[in-house]
This record gives sequence, C-alpha cells and structure tokens, in this order.
Amino acid sequence: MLTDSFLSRLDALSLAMRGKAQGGAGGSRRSRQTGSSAEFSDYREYVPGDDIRRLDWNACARFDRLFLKLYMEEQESLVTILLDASASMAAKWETARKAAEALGYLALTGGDRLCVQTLKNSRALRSPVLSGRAAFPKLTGFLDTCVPDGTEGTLTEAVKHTEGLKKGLCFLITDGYTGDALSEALDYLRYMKQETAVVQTLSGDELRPEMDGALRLTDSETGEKVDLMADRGVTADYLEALDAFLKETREHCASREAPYMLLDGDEPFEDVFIPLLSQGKMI
Amino acid sequence: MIRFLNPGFAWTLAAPAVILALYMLRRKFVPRQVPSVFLWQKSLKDYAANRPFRKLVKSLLMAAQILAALILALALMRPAVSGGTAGKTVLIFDISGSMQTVTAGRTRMDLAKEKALQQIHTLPAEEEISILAAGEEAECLALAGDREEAEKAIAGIVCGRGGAEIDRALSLADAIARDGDPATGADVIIYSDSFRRDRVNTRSEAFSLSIVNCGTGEDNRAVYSLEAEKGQAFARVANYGADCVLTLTCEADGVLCDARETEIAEGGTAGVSFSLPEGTRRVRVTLREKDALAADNTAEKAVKQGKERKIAVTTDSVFLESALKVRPDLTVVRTEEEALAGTEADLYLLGTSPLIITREIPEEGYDPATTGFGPFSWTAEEKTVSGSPAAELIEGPLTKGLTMKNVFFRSVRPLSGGKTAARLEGESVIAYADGTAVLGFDLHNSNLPLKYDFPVLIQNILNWLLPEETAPEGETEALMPLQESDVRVVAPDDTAREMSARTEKGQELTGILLAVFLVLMLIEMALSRAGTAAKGRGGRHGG
Repeated sequence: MLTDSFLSRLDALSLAMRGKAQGGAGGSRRSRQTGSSAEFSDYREYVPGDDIRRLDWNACARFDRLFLKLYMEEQESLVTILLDASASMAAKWETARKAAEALGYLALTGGDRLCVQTLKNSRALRSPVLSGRAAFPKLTGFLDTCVPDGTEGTLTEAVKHTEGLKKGLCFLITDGYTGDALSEALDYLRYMKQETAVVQTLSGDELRPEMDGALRLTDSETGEKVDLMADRGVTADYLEALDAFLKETREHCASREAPYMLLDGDEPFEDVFIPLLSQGKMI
Repeated sequence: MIRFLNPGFAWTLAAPAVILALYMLRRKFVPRQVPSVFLWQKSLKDYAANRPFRKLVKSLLMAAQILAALILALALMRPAVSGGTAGKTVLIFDISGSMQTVTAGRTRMDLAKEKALQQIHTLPAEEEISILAAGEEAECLALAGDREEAEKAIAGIVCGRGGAEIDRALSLADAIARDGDPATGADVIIYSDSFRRDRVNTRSEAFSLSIVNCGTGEDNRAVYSLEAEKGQAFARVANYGADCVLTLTCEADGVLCDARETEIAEGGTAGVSFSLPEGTRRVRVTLREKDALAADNTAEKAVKQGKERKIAVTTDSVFLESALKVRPDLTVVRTEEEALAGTEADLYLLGTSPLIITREIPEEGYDPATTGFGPFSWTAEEKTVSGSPAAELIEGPLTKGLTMKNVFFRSVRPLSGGKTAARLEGESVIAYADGTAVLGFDLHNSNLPLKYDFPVLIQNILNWLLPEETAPEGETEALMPLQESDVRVVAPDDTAREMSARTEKGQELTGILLAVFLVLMLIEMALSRAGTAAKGRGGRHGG
C-alpha cells in the first residue's frame, strides 16, 4: 500500500514517547532500568559480584573506595495500534489502513515491538507481536485480512475487548462515531498505562457533504435510517454539528494529554501524514 | 358573464388540491448509504422529514403546476362569456332524411342539437332566439323566445324523410330579422350536413349567415326507387360508397319472395327486378347490408292494380289540390260547374261555401246558389264568427287523427242533416252522409288549409268516400328522395364560419385557456430542466 519512497522517508523518523519504556531487552528506548548503554546514569558502591569492568577507577583513586558506574538501560517499547474496523470505517478504510501501516513501520524500524488489533468486539483480530523491520510484510499481511464490517457495540466496548495491552504507546485510529463518549475509551487506555494518540479518520463526504433533494440516509454500521430534505440549510446544520463533534473530540484528547490528529481521507495520504505526526508531536 | 358549457367537468378543479397534497406528502426518498447517521441525527433537530406531511416551501415549479392544472380544469369546463348586446338569433335545422345518418353511434341531428345548445349558451340572456326546422316545409318551432324555450324546441326536433327547404327557412328567418327594429338584424345559423353558402338563393342584409357542418362523409347505399306492377317489381339502388356487392330482399305482402345480389361500382346505380306472386298487393324491398343511413335501405310500394280514380274539381284551391294529390291513385280533373254533370269521375268536388265532396251529382248538375244537397241543408247567409272559438270534434271516420287545434273560422254556414263530424259553437260545420261530405265554410274564411289538420281531413273524406284498393293496409312507405339518400357531407365553403366564434355576441374561452395551459407547461418544463441541471452540476462537484 505504501510506496517505497514514502517508507524511505519514514526510515529517517522515529516515534516519540513521553514515558519510559518498560519492555523487553534490546530496544532503543530509554527505560527505568540501568544497563549497558552508552548513556551514563549514576554511581553506586561496588558489591562483590559486580562486573569489575564497570568500576570507575578515577573515583577509586580519588575517594579510595570502589564505585561502580551505572548506565541507562535501553529497552524496547510495545506499540499498540487499535484500528477501528467497524462498518462506518469502510469509506475511509484505505486511509486508516495506510495510517496503521505507516505507524507500524515506524514502530518496527524504531526497534519497538508492535501489536495491531482491530476494534470489532467479539470478532476482533489481533496480530502477533511483531518486532524488527523484517516483520513489516507480516504487518501488511495482517492488515490485508482486516475488513471493516463490525456492527456491534460501542468504541469503548471494543477497546475493552482488546487483549495483551502492556504499558506502551497506543495509536487509536477511528472515526470517532461512537454511541458513548470517546473519553471513556481514552480513560480505559490510560488506565491500561497506554500513552494514547488518536488519529481520527474521516472521509471527504463526511467533512464536506454534498447532498441535495429527498434522501434516505442509511447508517452502514447500524442500518439506521434518516430521511431528510437536503438543502443548504440542512448541510449548514450538519457542518455545525461536525465542528462541535471535532471540537469535543479534541477536548477529550487534550484533557487526557493524548495527541490528536485529524486525517482527511480525501487528501493525499503520503503528503499529509508526516506533517500530521509532526503537528501531533509524535515524531 | 361567464358560463360553463361543460359543467360536468367541475370535478377536475380538485386537481390543484391533489398536486398540493402531493407536494405536502413526504417525497419518495433516494436511498443513500453513509458511514454513520450520527452527525445527521444531531443536525436534524426537528426531524421534519420523518413526518408524513412536510412544511410547504415556496416553489415556482409547484405554482406553475397548480396553475396549469387549474387552467386545464377550467378549459375542460369550456367557459364562455356571454357578453355584448342582446339581439336576435335564428337557428335553422336541416331535418332532411340524411340528418339521420349515424356516425360513431350518434346521428347528425344529435350533433347539430349539441352544437346548437352550446351556441345558445354563449348568447346573452336577453337574446331572442328563434328555432326553425327546414324539412320539406319550413316550420317555426320557437319564435323570439328565451334560452329555455329554445332548448325545449331543439329537444323536440325530429328528422323527416324528405329533403330540406333551407331557402324557405331563410325567407322566414329574413322576416324574423326584419321584425321590430330592422337595424338590429339577426344572426342566422344553419345546422346542416349538405348546405352550401353558394346555394343560397335568399339574399338579405337583415341577417348574417353562419353554417355549421354536422357529421362526416359516410358510405351509404340506398333503394331510391321502387315500382311494382302485377307479377313484378323493379327497384333501383345507388351506391354512394366504395365498390360493393349488395343483397336485396323482396317481400310480397310481408312474405319473403325473392332475393338478388347485384354488384355496384362506386357512385353507380343498378336496377334489380323481382318476381311477385299473383295477387300481391304490397311489396317491400330491403338492402341487407348495414350502412350509415338506415332510413333509405327500405322501400315499400303498393302494387298497381291498373285502376285509376278520378276526381272532378270545380274550385281553384292550391291547398285542396295539394291535399288531393296525396292519393297516388287519384287523378284530379279540373272542370267547369256547367260541364260537371257530363264529367265522368269517381268523386266530385262542388262549390266553395259549403264545399261538397260527393260520389254522385244530380243529373241536372249543381247550383251553387242552392241551400241544400242530398240530406244536407244550410243557411243562405254566412254566419260571422266572433272571437276564436275552438271546433268540437265528434268521433267518426272523418275525424281520425284530427285535432283542430288553433283552427279558427271567420264565418261559417251552419249545416243540418247527415252526421256531424265537427261543431262550432254548437252548430254543425262538417257533416257527412250517403256518399257525401260537406264542409260548411269557405276555405278562404278559415286558417284550416294552413294547418296539418287539413290534409288529414281531406284524406279521411277520400278514404271514406273512395276506399283505396291498392293499399288496404296502412300507408305506402314513401321513398327517401335521391338527394337525401346521398349522405356525403358537403363542407361549408371558406366563407362559412364555424360556430362559437361570434365575438360580438359571446365567445368560448376554451382556446385561450388551452393556449395559457400550453405556455404554463413550457414554463414548467423549463423550471424542471433548470432544477435537473442544477442537481447535475451539484453531483459533478461532489464527485
């Protein structure tokens, strides 16, 4: 889906994480653990059994006591991508999938472990935990199996159905249409120690509707029908409701320190996505 | 004042209400799938679209459609203004036999009546309307009456079997037009199927003439002459349509005796002869094929028995001679009173007041100065009748079918003796006995000769005095004249106007309304197209 040129542009970027990593060994993120990286952390007195290679001989000479140099342990982090696969996402599935692919690529090339889960309640799909650039084809292969046809439950319920959440970075890719407030889902993820970022994906038809005449709108997810006589007045009312909805979503994210990015399905993805991550301070 | 010629279509005025209701009713919605109706539900605060009726919004298209429906409904009701100054209108109906021609289940007379009724509804209420029937004689059915009277007269018109004396009717119309203020004049409208302006012999500046053509050309075949003698009958048939083979049947005294087929080219005639059984008294020839005019498909004739009757007449009266000629076997022989005794005749017609019709005359002849004849006697002086007393009829052979309605006498010579057939103020004025009938008045002192009663009375007298030998049962069916069997319609020439175009007296507005309706339909089409184009532009922009 993503072009090689775009992937090469992503190679130069890495995902930013505000908190310390708490994952397995061998990562590139600073962790709370001290370890063997080149970054100095602290001193402590030598106890038998310590690696004498880490003794600070200068400090021994100065204080006549044995001190051991401690360095920051660089650990990998778990990046979870929660991809809303409800039926309402069908219109912007390609964009949402690209976003998941790009974020996954950033995670894999950044040395993080990656897990992608679709939000479809009981029918949710969960990818294996992937790590390393070589796992990128597995990521795309998994995304190929995902279909936006979920019709049950709310977003919060779907988020609560996710498994294996460990402290880490979490991207929630959704259109935000949920029966309950998005805040509940964000609160749950925060509770699960997720550093959440929200990528709200909407299609051009949703952002700039062009409707006229007598229309019977059918909700692709719930099948609910709404009859309306579309005209300029009705469209203006819709745009007003849309503005309020986006503002509310942004406020929910801001109050929970969750970066928020609005992805327009009609705009060229490879042109807008990196600036969008930059605006959200995610790279 | 506007009147509606077709008020039965008033129900179509409900059409605008139906259009309005359709606009108010919820439209048929175009289904469209959207990712979520979440935001739409939020934006539709009052859910107006989900109600069965919606708020009516201003729409030029709706206004044009409602107006068009209203105009069409009014046009169907055929409004007409009856304006202008009231004047005189004379409607002349051709009641010739060809007006019985049936087209699409209606006779030409029906069509003429319908057109005439439409016409009189466009006339001012005060218009003086006269109705004339032009058959073999012109007859005035309504004189300077109102609309109601005219309608009644039109409803009572019946077609004859002969031709139409339109010229006589026009003369009468001319007299009506000149009656009163000649400057006003009259509008004369002729309803006919064969009348042409260039055939009008009556020229008058007192009226303006319009001709309304009734009916269309139809195929017709006719038996237009029939002669029957002992042992054989000869019929002549005409074909006014395409080439055809006709079947003719011949009935002798009501029993089918012969049938022939004959082939006739378009516009041609053919003669067909039939053999009759011995002793046949009446013969009827019938065309089996149905055509436009059924009235001329049958001809009936009494078989000539070879015996002619004579009636010797001394008086000079056109009315009397006309009435006598009705009997085909009777030959009128004119003679002088002095030579009457030497004239051989079956009947003799003597004197003027009284008028005597008798089988035998005295050998010495008849003296008009005498006051008696046979069993009859009368006064020497004529008695003047004051007022307009009606004659009283007494049932008998001479009064069959008589009404004596509106028959008046200036003076009479009361009769005594014989059987009384009619009385005037208690005194006998018509009497009969012993082969003699007497009319106790001078024909010139009564309007009886001008009434239908006169030929009936004369025929009654003849039948009583001289029973017809050749036609003992009923009357011989008169053949329709040749020109009336030809039902091809002659279109009025270009100077003739069609009806309802009389601007000075009133005008039907249907044409104007239909023109307005067409304009509105064009506007509606333009508005519809503009709406569709706008939607198309919107669709492309959205895509």
